[in-house]
Amino acid sequence: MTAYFAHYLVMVGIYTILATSLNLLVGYSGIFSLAHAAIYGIGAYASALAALKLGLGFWGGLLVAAVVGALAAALVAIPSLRVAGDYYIVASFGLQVVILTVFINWTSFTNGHAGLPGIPRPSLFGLVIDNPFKYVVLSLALAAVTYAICHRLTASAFGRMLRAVREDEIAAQATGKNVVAVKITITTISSALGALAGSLYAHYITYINPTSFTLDESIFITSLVILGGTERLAGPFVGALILLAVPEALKFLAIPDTVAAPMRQILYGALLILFMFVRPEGILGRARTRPAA
Amino acid sequence: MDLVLQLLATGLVVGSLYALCAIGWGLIYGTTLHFHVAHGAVFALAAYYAYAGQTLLHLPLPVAVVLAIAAAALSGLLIDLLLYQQLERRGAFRTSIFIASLGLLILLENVLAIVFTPDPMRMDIGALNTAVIIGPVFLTYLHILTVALTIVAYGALMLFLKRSRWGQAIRAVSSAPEMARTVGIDLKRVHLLAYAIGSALAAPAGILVAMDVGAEPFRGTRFVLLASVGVIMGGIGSIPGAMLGGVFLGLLENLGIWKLPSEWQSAISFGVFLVFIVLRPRGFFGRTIHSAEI
Repeated sequence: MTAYFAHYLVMVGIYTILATSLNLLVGYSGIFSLAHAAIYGIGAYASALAALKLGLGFWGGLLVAAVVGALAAALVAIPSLRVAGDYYIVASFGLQVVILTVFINWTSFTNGHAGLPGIPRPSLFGLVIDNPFKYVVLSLALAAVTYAICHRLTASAFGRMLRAVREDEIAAQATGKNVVAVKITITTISSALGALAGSLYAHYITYINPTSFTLDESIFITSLVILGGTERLAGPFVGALILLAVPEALKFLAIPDTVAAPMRQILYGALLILFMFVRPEGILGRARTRPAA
Repeated sequence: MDLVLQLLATGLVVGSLYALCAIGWGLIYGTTLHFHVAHGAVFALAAYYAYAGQTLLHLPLPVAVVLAIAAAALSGLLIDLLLYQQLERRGAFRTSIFIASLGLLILLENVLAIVFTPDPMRMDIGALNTAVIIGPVFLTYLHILTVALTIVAYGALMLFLKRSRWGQAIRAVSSAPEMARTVGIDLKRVHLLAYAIGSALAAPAGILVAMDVGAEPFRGTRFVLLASVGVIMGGIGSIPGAMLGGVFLGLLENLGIWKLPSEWQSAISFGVFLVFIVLRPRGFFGRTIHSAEI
C-alpha cells in the first residue's frame, strides 16, 4: 500500500462521514441542505482552534467540533424548518455563505485566507498517529462509528418517524408526531456528525483554510449521497469510493489544471442529471414507490 | 450623508438587478413549484450570448442584446421542455427536479468557464459608460438604464399577467393548478410560457451586469439564490413582493456597508433573511406556507 493510496483511503473515510451524515437529511428526511461544507468547516476550525488556542487534544477537539457544529445547524434549523422544505434550501445556502464569510473575515480568530497551520496530529493512548497509514485506520474507524450511529438511528422508531415525515408530513402530524421537532433533531444530529469529519480533516492535513469549505464542496458532498444512493446507509461510502477516484483518474490524462477542475465539475453536474433520469435512488438505492402521475 | 446617498443609489441599481432575477424566478416558482436554480445558468448564458453577439458576430450592441434575451428565453423554455418535463413524465419527485436543476447549473457554468475562461469578458458599451453626477451621487447611464428597464419590465409583466389570456392562465395555474386543469388549461404549455418569460426577465439582469463589469461564468449562482431569498421575503406567489424583495436586498447590502466593513456584505442579506423568516415567514405579501402544506 503506497502512501498515495493510503491518502485516498483517509479521504474516503472523511467523505464517508460527511456523506453518511448528510444522507440522514437528504435521503431519510427529505431535507435538502447546501450547508454541509460549512458544517465540515466549523468542525475543522473548532477543533483546530481548540488544539491551537486551548491546547485541547484530538478527542477534546472532536467533542468541541460536534457541539459547535450542532449548535450552528440548530440556529438555522429552528427558524427555517418551521416553514416549508424549500425554505431550508435557501436558509442552508445562507448559512453556507455566512459561515464562509466568517472563516475569511474574522481574521483575529481564523487567520483569514492564510489559514491555520500547525494543527497537531492526534494521539491515541500515547501512540501518535503521524503518517497516512496509521491515519487510514483512524479515519475508517470513525467512518464505521458514524455508520453504526446512523444505522442505529435509522433502524429505530425515530428512523421510522423520519421516513413518515418525509413521505407525508400531514399524516405524520395527524398521528400526533411533532414534525418540526423531528426535523430539527435530525438536522442537529447530522451536523454534529458532519463536524466530526472536519475535525478529522484538520488534524490530518494539519493546516486548514477557507477554500476547503466552499459551496462547491457542499455540492460535491451532495453528489456523493445522490450517486451512492439515498436511503441506503452504505450508499455514501460507495459514492465516496467512486467519486474520489475520479480526480485521481483524471490526473493520468494530461489535462491542464485550468481545464481539469471545470471538467470535474461538469462530470458531477452531468452525473446528477443522469442519475435523476436513470436511477434517482442512487447506485445502491432501493426504488421508492412513486406518486401517481 | 453624501455616502448614504451614494449607497442608496448604488443599492437601488443593484436592487433592480436582484428584482429582475427575483420576479422571473418567482414567476417560475409560483407557477411550476420547481426550485429552478438553473435560472442562474440562464442569467450567465444571456450575458455570454450578448458578449458573443457583439464581439464574435460583430452585431451592433442593441441587436446583440435583443437576440441574447430571445436566446435566453428559448434556453429557459428548453430546460423545462427537455429536462423538467421529461423528469415529471417519469414521475420524478420535486427533489429530483431540484437536483437535476443543480446539476445543470454546475454543468453549464463550467462549460462557460472552459469556453470563455473564468475571467470577466468585458463588453464595449460606448456612451453608456459615461458618468452622470447628480449632486453627491456618482452613477453611469448604464446604471440609470438598469433602474428604468426594471421598472418597465415589472410594469409590462404585471400588465401581461392581469390583462392577457395567457397571463390569466399563468395566474390560474399559480393559484390552483388542479382547478386550472379542470377548466381546460394546458399546464405544460403554461409552464413553458412561465419559463420563457421568467428567463427573458433574468436575461437583461445578466446582460446589464456583464455590460458593467464583464461576463463571468459563476456569478449566476449568487444571483439566483438571492432571487429566491427576495421571493421568499416578498411572499411566494406575489410578483410585487418579489420586486420589493429584490430591491430591498440591494438596498440592504449597500446600506449595510455604511456601518459594517464591506467584506461582510454577502453575509448581511442572509443574516437578515434568517431573522426575517422567524418574524414573518409569509413574507411581505404572500400566502403562508407551513411545513405540512407542500
